[in-house]
Amino acid sequence: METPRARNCDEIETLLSPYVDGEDQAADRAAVTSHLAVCGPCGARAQAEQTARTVLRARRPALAVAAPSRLRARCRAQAARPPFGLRWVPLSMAATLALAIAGGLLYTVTFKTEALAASIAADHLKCFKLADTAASGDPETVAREWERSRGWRLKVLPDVPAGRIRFVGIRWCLSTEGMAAHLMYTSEGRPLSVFVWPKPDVAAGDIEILGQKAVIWSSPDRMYAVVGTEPADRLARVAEYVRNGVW
Amino acid sequence: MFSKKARKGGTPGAAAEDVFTQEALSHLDSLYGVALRLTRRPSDAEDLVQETYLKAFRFASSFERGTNLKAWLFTILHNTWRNMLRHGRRDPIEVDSETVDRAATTVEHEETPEQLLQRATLDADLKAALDALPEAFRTAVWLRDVEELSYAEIAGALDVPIGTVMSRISRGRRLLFERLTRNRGEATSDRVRPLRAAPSSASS
Repeated sequence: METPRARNCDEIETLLSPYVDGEDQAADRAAVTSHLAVCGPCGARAQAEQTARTVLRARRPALAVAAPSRLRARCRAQAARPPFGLRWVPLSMAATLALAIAGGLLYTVTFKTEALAASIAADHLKCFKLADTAASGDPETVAREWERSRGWRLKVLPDVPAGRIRFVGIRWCLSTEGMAAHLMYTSEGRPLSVFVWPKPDVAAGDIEILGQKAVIWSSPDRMYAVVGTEPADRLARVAEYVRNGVW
Repeated sequence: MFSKKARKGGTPGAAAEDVFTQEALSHLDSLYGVALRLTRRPSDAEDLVQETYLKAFRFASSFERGTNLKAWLFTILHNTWRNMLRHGRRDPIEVDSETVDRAATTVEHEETPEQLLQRATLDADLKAALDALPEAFRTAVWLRDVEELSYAEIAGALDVPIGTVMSRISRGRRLLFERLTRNRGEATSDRVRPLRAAPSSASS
């Protein structure tokens, strides 16, 4: 059996905390043990670390802090707005949301569908995103990549030259309603967005908000919103295209 | 054609707090504890925790069921803290962790854990010693020894490689020991000085 290679102090240092925690691999443990047997400074380091760990863990209850009760109340209040997941506040209840849009204006919106429309209208102008992801390319590749990375199927409709609709790219958006695919198009040169959520919902309608028009509906397994500054009948036609793929 | 009308539908709204909200709030004390160690000011810690919950509830759909919710919350808290620092809140005692060299620990007072645990001022000394650590070490040690996260979870929360986590825990614990045994009985929070190399004869 081979004797393990002797390690130097730098290598041992990187192995110290798993050793002290008892979570190291057998080979590493053997190497550390044999090094500590012959190296005073490393032995002192391990000892110091072990002592600090023991003391900290023994005093955990004293180190723990009870959060002030007013903080608990404030944090609990965060849960009330916006709603978690797709648990909707019914339209009969007034749900008040304050939304900041690009430019820093504050709007107060009542009713669920309008809140959603305002949210995605703001997203249309400036997408809220945790990660900077924007992908362009041909619609089929983009759709395939989306499904691969997000785990749900997304239909990305191709360009319609006759209708002067061009696919620009896709973003992953975090809106108040959860994660959405934000498909970016131009329509006669104007920005047009199609938002797709992987779950359907009851909010629906044709809304005009923040200078944008939004058409919102659900299919059995998806929710859609088409947002733009198109004339009303053109936007309706675009929404039909998104709904059934025919221009 | 376009109006502010909207079709009604759906079920009556549920008033009860859902499971996710309850579980998230159950970690409030832990989050506050970390926030206090990071900010060292109770009012800042409260703001940090509240901001963390705002994001947690907002982005709840991105939490993967079955994974460690506490670790996920710590990740949000730490990211939020990083943003706070970027936007002007300066951490007054920020020692570049790279300048604290690996030096042999000089054990000036031989103190066993048992002896330390008998010290009357230990709890105050511990907190002071923690607060005097460079933030990177302080956070790693706290998440490991107080909050008992795994190395992988800490690496995720701090967004650093796992080897870095182990190194920070190791050096943080040793610095803590140094502090505890040097400042015997005093709760101080003076600047962390680089450790001096041991004057021993051992070769490294």
